[in-house]
Amino acid sequence: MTDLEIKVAKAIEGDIGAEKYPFRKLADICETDEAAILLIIKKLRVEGKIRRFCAVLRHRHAGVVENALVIWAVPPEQCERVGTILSAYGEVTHCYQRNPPFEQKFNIFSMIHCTKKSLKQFIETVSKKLDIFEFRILASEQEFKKKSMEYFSDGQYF
Amino acid sequence: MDEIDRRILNIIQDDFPVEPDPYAAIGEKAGIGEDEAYRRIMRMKEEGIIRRIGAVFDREKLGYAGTLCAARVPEDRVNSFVSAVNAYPGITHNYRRNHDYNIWFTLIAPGREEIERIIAEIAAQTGISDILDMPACRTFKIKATFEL
Repeated sequence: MTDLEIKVAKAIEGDIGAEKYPFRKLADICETDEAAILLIIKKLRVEGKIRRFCAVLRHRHAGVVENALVIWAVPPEQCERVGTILSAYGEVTHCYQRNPPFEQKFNIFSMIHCTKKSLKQFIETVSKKLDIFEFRILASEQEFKKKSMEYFSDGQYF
Repeated sequence: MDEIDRRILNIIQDDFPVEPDPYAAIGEKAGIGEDEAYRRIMRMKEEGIIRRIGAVFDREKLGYAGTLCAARVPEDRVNSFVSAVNAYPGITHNYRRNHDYNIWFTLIAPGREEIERIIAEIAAQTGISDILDMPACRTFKIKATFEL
């Protein structure tokens, strides 16, 4: 990445602020013009370095939900199928295969967001659909930390 | 939060317009004016519904490594363990979960060696040696947005 790209990345990995025309403000911060800012963001998106440019919500404040980590014991040859089915549900926000598996067998990890009340029912439905009956619901009982990674701001790595 | 707020959130949690007049573009999509779109979004930031507006970077594309750790921590040492863990900037999520492995956190660092170094350092510093390191070998989905 160029020096200017890194400067821009640093300016947009947090919050863009309260300006009505935020990209004009970013241009000032980065000592360039607005067109260059828009172009760099576009380029980083095309390259896939920026996944999304968006509002990040606090889900509890937005009235959404609790989160639960649900882990599944899936025979290796079925991981592809199970991962694909799980990913199709809106309630499943993250889904990974992990290695080593937890307790030697739980290898598919899904983060599920829905209301506490509907969670159990949802998981039972999903379990039947997957034809996987060995799973654990690891509810989140207390949040100690939740933030977006800052790759650029401490100047340590780039 | 009313219907218009929800409409706005559904638009901008997917895609905040990267263009000179973003609030005008949001207003148009939500069926309101630029000023109202701007005011409502500022209000939802103040209320804490919106954590931030900006870029979400792709860890892998930036060449970083990540992992999920689970630690077994005796109850009377949870506070000090959590403080030690959270002090690292690469810790992005840390939760207590209902299991013998009671503390679950995610760690991002420039490479696998750095991840292993940090976990070893946490173990040495806290005396908690039962920390599992479970990196993803396959990513099926990352999309933390919800229809509101």
